[in-house]
Amino acid sequence: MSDRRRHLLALLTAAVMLFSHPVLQLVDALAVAGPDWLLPAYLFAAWAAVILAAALAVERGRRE
Amino acid sequence: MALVGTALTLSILYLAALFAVASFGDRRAGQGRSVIANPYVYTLSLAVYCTAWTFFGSVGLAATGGLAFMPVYLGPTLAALLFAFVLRKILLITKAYGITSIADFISARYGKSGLLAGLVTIVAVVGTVPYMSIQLNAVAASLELMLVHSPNAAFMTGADSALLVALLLAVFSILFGTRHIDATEHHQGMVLAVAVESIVKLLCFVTLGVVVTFWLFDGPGAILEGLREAGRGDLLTLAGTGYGNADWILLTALSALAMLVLPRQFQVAVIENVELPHVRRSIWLFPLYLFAINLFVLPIALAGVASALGGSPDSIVVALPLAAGHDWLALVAYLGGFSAATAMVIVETVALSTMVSNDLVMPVLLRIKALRLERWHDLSRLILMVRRVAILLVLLLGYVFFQLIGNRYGLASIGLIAFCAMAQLAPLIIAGIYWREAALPGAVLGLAAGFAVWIYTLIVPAMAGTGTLSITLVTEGPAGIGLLRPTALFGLSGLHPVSHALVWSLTANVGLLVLVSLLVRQNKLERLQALLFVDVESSRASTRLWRGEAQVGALLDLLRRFLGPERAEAVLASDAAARGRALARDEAADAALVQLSERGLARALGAASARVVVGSVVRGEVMGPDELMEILDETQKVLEYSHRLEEKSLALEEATGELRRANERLQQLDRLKDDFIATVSHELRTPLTSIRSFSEILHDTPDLEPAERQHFLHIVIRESERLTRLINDVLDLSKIESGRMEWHVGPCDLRDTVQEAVAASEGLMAEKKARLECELEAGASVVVCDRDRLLQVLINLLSNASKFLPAEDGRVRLIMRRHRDRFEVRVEDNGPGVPPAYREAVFEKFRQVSDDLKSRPKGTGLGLPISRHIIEHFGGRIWVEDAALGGAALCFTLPVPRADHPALAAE
Amino acid sequence: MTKRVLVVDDEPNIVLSLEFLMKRAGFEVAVARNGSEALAALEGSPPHLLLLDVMMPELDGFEVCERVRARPDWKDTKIIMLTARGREQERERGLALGADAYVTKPFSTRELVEQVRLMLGES
Repeated sequence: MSDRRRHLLALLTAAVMLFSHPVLQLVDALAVAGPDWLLPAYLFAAWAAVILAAALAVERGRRE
Repeated sequence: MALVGTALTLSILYLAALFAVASFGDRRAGQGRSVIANPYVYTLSLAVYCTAWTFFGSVGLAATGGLAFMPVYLGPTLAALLFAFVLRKILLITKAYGITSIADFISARYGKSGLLAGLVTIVAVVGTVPYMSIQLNAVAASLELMLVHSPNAAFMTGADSALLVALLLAVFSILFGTRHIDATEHHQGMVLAVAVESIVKLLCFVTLGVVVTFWLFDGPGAILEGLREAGRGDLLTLAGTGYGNADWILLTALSALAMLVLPRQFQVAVIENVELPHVRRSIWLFPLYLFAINLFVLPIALAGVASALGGSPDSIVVALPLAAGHDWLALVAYLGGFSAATAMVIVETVALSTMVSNDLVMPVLLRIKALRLERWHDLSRLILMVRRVAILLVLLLGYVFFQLIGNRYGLASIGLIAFCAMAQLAPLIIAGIYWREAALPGAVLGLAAGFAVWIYTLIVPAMAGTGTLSITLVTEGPAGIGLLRPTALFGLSGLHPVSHALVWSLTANVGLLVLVSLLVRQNKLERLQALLFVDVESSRASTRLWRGEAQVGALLDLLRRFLGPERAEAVLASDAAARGRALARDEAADAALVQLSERGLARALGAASARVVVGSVVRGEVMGPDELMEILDETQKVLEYSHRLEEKSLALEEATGELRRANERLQQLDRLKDDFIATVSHELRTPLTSIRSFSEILHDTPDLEPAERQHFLHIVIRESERLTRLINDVLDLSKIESGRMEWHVGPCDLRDTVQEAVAASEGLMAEKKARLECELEAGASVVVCDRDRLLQVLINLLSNASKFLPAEDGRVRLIMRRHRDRFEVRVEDNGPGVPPAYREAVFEKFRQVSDDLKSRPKGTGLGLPISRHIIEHFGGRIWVEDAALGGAALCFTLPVPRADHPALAAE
Repeated sequence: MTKRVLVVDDEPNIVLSLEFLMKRAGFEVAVARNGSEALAALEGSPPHLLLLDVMMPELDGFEVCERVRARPDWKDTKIIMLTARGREQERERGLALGADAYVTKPFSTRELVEQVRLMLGES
């Protein structure tokens, strides 16, 4: 399997974990102590990070 | 003008503009200058995923469930990461086998089954109807909201806006989508229009979001403040979503599956894909689009909550600007929602109408013998008509659904219900491309069971909710059996209704698919298709399936009827091109032509129908399974072997070619060297012969006349000199040619050097009784070169000239003059001259032009080649031309050195 | 009677030396500077022996040899070919064309004279 495909699979795994229920519950619990907008902020930040990582994984391989 | 009137006018104008965009796209495609052949348009066309549901429904859902809208967009984000695997493979298969729709794809995989194709089509149509109703609902609701704000729009009062919208969209989709019959032909205009719509809806939504957040409110902080005041801070938490523990991940998974199997997604992502590599960049661009369009969902929804608007939460995007008195903003929101709805409707109807005509209606019509379709001359018009009716039907069904239950549920809930129906196709596709054993009976039973469970767990409760069915069916279970309650099947409770339906329908679906596939044997065609699909990345073989007999004429008639005469001829022409000759009507068609015809028909009819149609004219049948597998295996092996062989022999050929070239070069060099040595040997032996002979004569003849002795001695001396010169020249030449010559470069005065050469040659001239004249231009004449070598050239030219002089009155003239950037030296004589044909040859080794001369000139034959090397080494040029004196002029130039030449500075 | 020898070479010094050597050995000598001159000289009364250089402009020695051997009335003329190019295949070619001997330049004058004498039946 090419590096690009392996990176994408790894990223998929990481993304599934980022958006999984236990992690979201943890963030939700932290929001009780912290600012109430923590969960939406976390979700959008994690989403952006996944997109950025995907862009890196896809585009880095293109210049070979 | 009333607001609602403006909105309607805007809609019509927008559709007209969209039509213009599509026509532009089609025209450019017709000219072969596609505007959609890039990853950006591809990504934007994928964004047809975001419909009125996204535009109105997400905000509506967020207003009641906070973050509950997110799984629907996180799912496709995750699915996009799998594009490089699943979508790529589907694309490879589709492009290889001329697939026209998702129903065609699935049926082709399971042995080109008409039954399965029809079933898939039914699932797709039924699943799409609620989805279609969302679009009508959303657009109609916004129109009605604006109507309330348009007190004098009497013309709209009482009109059924949803029906109006449905008809408008139907007309537009028909105009748009059914211009061509060949469904694998890209609808480039449509894709371009959808891409433009994706830009419009994104811009509209972002505009709305920015205005609401930063103008109507003072930024996100103010919205949050308003939210807390309204007592809905729970909307920011997980609990606010109303989802159970497993719902989040299940709905994410559902959305990921939907991304692949929604007919419109399949249409834009697979059927309309121009080039495979476009997928790659969409892996991150598509999620980026989803991210961008969702960024303001929460702020707008929460702003709506904080404003306590009342009315349907799904209308917030229009109601919010209206409440704030910004009619223009309401129009922007309406336009965005309208564009999202039209994009979905256009693509979905094109996809569905193809499926309905190819996989449902045409196979049935073809089987009805009474229609005698095989006698029709041109069926393509019929096919188009079927598609148009299908488009109208799907939209009207959407309208009916809307009337029945549509306005009792939120847009997002209905959307998820549609997703769940479509998700039933996913196991068939995934198993189809990764599991060779997946068999038709398993696929049919799995799909049917999953679909039935979907109806039972989602549609039955919905209908019970509207009173169409008894509500006790839901609350107490059929016949009072609690375990069978549709919303808590087998006691499974605590899930979102859609998650609940998804779990049970997919369990039934996958379970039966796997179980039955393991128990039954695939039929012969299915085994082949399974092999072709699963191994698409490795198989390059085109398999010859048909072993029957058919006449070319019969096939041609068939093609003409379904494709029209033009396309039919094109199919035969491509066969003739592959075969090297055109087959006559009465010839027997072989497997290749039958297969080609089937592929051509499949483009218009789908695989299943094409098979039926071709089967009607081809007698005989598909080969036996074992025979077929044997041939396949054999073909595969032979192919692999020949591929390896080909690679090897290519490499060998290359190596051989290189060897041969090297050898030829060597031989050539060898021949040149050989010739050179032979010539040098000859040139050395000739003076040596004279020297030896006369020495021996002198030695053996003591009584020689003194004069004769003197003469012979003189000959010996002259020939020895000649020998020395020759040896020196050969050594010089070999040094120059091998680059080992030592050059003593420095400034030297050209005039002085010329004069020295003249002085050295005076004896020679006197011997020839020749006159030597010099015309040397005055002025500085410094050149940069090796002085001794320059002298050698000059003496060489002078002695060369002297050799060709006439016996009487020989004249040599030496001219030196300066041009702007170079000095020119000419040595002219009044000898016979050099014919133009030999003017280059004299600079070759041992080429003396002396044929007609009584006395052969005594030179080494190397003087001019050496002179040329020397002059060219110092940047000059040497050549022969006619002389004013009548003979030859040997001329050379040397460059005037630049003032900053390093050799001059060193002096 | 005196045997006649025709010397053919384009090198004047070599012609001069061969003419001297042949005369000193007691033969009657004629000279030719190239192939055509040689054929012309043969026409009148063919010499008993031809000393024939190979590398000459226009008609070279091989061609002269071939033409001489093509004429039945010249069949008694002996041919010694002289060459400055000592390659084996050329010697073979010369002998195949009907030359009686093939001598590489530079040669020993005594040996050459001896060979000519032998060929002409004088010793």
